[in-house]
Amino acid sequence: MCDQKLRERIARLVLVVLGEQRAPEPWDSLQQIEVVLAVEDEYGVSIAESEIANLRSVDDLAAYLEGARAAL
Amino acid sequence: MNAADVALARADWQPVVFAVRPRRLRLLELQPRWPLQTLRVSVLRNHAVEPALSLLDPFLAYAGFCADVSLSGYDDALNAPPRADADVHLVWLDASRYGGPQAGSAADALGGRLRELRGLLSGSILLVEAPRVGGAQGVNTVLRAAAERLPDVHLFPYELITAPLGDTAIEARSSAMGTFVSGEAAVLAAQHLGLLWIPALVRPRLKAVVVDLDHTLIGGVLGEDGVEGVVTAGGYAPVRDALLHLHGKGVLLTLVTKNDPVDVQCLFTEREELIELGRAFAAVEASWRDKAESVRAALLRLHIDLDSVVVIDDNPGEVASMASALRDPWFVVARDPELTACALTLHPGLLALRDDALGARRAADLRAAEHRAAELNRAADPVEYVRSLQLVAQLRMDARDDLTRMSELSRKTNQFNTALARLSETEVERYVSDPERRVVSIRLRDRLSDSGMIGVVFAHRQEDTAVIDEISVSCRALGRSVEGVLIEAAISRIAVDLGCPRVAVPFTPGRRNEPALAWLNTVADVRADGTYGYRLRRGDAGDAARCAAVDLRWEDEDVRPETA
Repeated sequence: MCDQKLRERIARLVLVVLGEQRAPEPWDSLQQIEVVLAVEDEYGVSIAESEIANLRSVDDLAAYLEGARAAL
Repeated sequence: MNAADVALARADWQPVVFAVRPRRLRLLELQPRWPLQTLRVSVLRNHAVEPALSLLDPFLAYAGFCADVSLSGYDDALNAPPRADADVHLVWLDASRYGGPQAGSAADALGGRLRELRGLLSGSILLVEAPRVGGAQGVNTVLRAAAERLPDVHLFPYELITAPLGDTAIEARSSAMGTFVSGEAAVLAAQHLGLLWIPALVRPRLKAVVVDLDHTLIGGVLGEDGVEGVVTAGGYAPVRDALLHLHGKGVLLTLVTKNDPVDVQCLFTEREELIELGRAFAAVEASWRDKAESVRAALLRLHIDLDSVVVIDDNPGEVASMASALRDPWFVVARDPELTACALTLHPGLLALRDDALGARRAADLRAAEHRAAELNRAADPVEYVRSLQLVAQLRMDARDDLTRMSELSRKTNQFNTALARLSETEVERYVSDPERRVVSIRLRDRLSDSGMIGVVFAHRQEDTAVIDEISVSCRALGRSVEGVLIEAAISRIAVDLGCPRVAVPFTPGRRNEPALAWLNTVADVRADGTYGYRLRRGDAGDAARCAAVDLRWEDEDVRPETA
């Protein structure tokens, strides 16, 4: 189960980045790049190239960040 | 929103947009609350530039623009039809796609296509230098050559701008991200494009920076801490460096401060690190009077309009008060010296697209103008005084190497400007090359200063009439009673050259071009269609020049095709 606050923060980030009332999921490839760049900038992480294609939703991103946090 | 609200709303944005490393999410959260001018931007590209373009909006909005962006498909040959009505065409290529054995011919083809595009499009073209990956050297050579040789084509120095990022400027995950531009590099590129480069392509450059003293140029309060007590080290050194850099690029520096003028003079003569900056100020207003009045007085001395300056002051209340009174200037709230230095480096309107050799001598020219005015006041015989100035005017017809300065004069001149056409380099080039058009550039010097190019006259032939599309004369040339003579010489020559017995001067009224209208009313008659019929004098324009005591010289360098 994802941290709910983290999920909410990521959902808000996606809304700001994609500029839409309701973020579409899964995102298209260009939207995904923009979301990934914003997440990296905001959370100070560098997402591995092999992982990028798997991050297609808010839940995916929240789970990834939780995993990254746990690995520290 | 009133002017004070706009100034303070922009001030809230300044820590975000002028940041050394702007944050993507903070930028995207910004919502402009001031009016924006729509700007059509066409992007020709062969890779994913969205990571940078998606951040353009906040930077352009700070500069007062709302971008209507059209993106081409991925197109290495740039063959996609560009948007013809765009104000700015951005060409952004991934050079790695031009590598391999065909690299040379691909680069040649690219150069040819850029020349074609320049001929087809009227908007400015900005070429983004390619990151240093395979194929970049050949592509960048082509881009540099185009920017040097083609009118209104400019090179965006991507390498220089992203150099502080080191290796992280290149995206290591390029296959997944679709570009070699890293996320951090994309932010810096968007910052420089949106704040500096794109605005510089479509708006005249600012002419002056007005800067406060206490807590802005120095730490502390001069009146309380004294000359030896104020802080000039730390973050204040980069502020001085940024101001001196702008001074070297032709921007006039003005100090406006509520302080004792003697204290201010002592500060800039006794503190060694401030001496150079003190000498660079074109005007200093140190007094206890209202700041807005001081700014107005300083700019009046410099013949600069309020909308051509940025005012930097640490006090938001003072900024709001000045904005209410003056309305037109840009304002920066100097929260801390780091932000001030960044604002001086990145503020819209401060970038010189080309080396501005003439701008760099503007301060000296203004000092000469003040000297002239004082001498004229003391002169027993004003006519004899003007004669003693030994004025020399040089006029050139269709001088291709004057394109940049002619465009600048058209775009920057507000007071003596008949049409406010704001001609781009591309449009000026058409006057140089079209046999039905003429353009005359005018340079002026006297024993006190060389003012460089101070005037330009654009015209085209319409049946038997030479239509004067625009006359622009720099305000630095006014006051020596010779502008009328120089314009007359230019118009007479144009009429003869185009074979036109008649001359018409259309006039477009603007906010400040009454001086042009006043001159026009003395030399032309209003026609039924609202244009002015210029009273062409028969005979030698040199007679008038001799009367005005100006040595008038023509220099024809270019051979042009016969008039049809």
